[in-house]
Amino acid sequence: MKREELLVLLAFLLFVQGYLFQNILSALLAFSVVLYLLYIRSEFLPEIEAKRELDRRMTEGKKAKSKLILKNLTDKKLKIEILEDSLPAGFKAEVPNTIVLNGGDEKNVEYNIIPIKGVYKIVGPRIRAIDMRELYYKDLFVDTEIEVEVYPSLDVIKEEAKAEENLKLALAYKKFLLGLETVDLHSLRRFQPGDDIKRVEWKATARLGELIVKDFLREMEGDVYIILDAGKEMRKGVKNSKIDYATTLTIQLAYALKDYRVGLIVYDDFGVKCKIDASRSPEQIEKIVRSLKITPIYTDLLGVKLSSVGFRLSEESLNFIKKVLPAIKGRKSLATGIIEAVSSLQSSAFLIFIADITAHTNELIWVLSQLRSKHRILLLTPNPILFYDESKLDRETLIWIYRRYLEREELIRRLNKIVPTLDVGPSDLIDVIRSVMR
Amino acid sequence: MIAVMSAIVGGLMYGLKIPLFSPAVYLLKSRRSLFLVAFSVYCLALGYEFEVASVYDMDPAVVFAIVLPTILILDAGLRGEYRDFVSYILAVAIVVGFFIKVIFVIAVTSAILHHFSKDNPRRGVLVALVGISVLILGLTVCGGLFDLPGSAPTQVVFISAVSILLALAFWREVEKLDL
Repeated sequence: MKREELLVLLAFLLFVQGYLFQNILSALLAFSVVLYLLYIRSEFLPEIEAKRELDRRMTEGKKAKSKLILKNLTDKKLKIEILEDSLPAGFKAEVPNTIVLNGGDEKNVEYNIIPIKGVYKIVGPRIRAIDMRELYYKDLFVDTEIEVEVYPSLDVIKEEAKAEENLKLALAYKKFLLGLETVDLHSLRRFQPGDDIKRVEWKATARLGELIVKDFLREMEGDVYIILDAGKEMRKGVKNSKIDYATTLTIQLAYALKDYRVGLIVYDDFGVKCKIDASRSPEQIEKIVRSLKITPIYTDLLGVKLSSVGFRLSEESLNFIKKVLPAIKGRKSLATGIIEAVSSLQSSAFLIFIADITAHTNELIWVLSQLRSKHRILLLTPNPILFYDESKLDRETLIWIYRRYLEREELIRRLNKIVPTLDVGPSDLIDVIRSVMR
Repeated sequence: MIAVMSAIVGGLMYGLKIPLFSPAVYLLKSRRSLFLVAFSVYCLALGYEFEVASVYDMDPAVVFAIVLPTILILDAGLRGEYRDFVSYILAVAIVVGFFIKVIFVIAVTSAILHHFSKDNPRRGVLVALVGISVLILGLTVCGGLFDLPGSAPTQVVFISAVSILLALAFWREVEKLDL
């Protein structure tokens, strides 16, 4: 029931009382209540001018200031409530209590927003102007759209990385995995995408009829490239997507390997999204963090099951779309993201792939097979089953998950024959990698 | 303060007991919904305690002693009261008005005007003036029809009809807050 409705009901009851008890006073009281309501309704015409100012760069989980400039354009006192109901999913706002705005007053209201990582367009907020008697209100929408970039929290990652486990991890990398080329010739091999043309051994090429390049001996120092898959499959999720864990893992790795030349390549289904060349500079981790503003895609399931589609396309149509889609997206070649990513590598390096193995599986296998002779590779793959929301499990989903699990196990076995492959979930991340690498 | 004082003094002038409960109703203002329920009960009890058989035989001071203080209590409870120098003078005048009726009528009228002037009213004043004028005019014009013994129900129906007419004339769509 509304507050005003109670007063209308009171007026009605007073009229009835006056009629039944033959009492004019009740009728006069009822008349005055009706007149009072009409008076307030006529006086309530709120006009508010509002503008929001917001930091365009935020850090995940850290409070960011949102400044709201409110101006009462009428000469009537109003109560103002701020309703942050149009913030992106996962964002939290610490909105202040009701604010009183005098006639013609301008007020700056500051409050905190706690973001999650990604790139978002923030609209609103909604402002509720309430009359001083709290009977009526009017909602006004702040017509401001601000694009914000939310970066992963570096401090949290640093804290985690400072732990003993991560130091051991860095040692493990040093022991087993790194290698940089020297000027000493090691062997000859076939040309692979991304090979420097300067390394082509022309004599051998002419003799064998195919492009042959020179491989050099390695020393215990070299480039490390983290190659992160930011494709659709990785970004799907309900509360947390695989990409959330993958980005955390990326930063942990970058921090743990800060004494080495670490680089980052982020690719999606359509191409390379960003590349940071390997470097040992102190700003390198900061650069990596800045490049990880990947927005998760929130779905009904945690990225393990595609939502049902109302129609099915024929095999021919799908093949046609696969061919046409890169062109639609503005790509010049038919190479997918992963091929573009590895093609940009100039010299031998240690490659840590963080990728979803269920998307573009054949392509991934082909790329890994091609690269393993030139680079040392480790494949980390977030296992969707480990990211599944237990509260959403039912019989049908369990059966479906089990089938996927078997398929995945088979796939992991195949991949392990090519390169070391690790399944990671939200709870293990860097611990698992460390233990396997020992 | 003025609302409660005018209600008590006005009630005492006519020997009523219900206005003595007005401070209890007013003190519920911090819980708006409860205040509105208590106010409704207060109004119905007031209508039960004090009887006016005809508008034409009524002492006009009843409006100033009972009706206007009731509306003052409603608004003071919902919006709050301002305490300034004028309100203290008016409070004294209301107390003095217990002995001199004219002073009471002037003090309550001034209290109403002073209280609602804080709203910087414009359109609302017009609505109130039109409403009161239409009612007085209607009762005066139809005096021959209504000023009869036992015509109280007819007068009530007329007052309610005027209320409905005013509501239709000045109603506009506004979002309402929940109880």
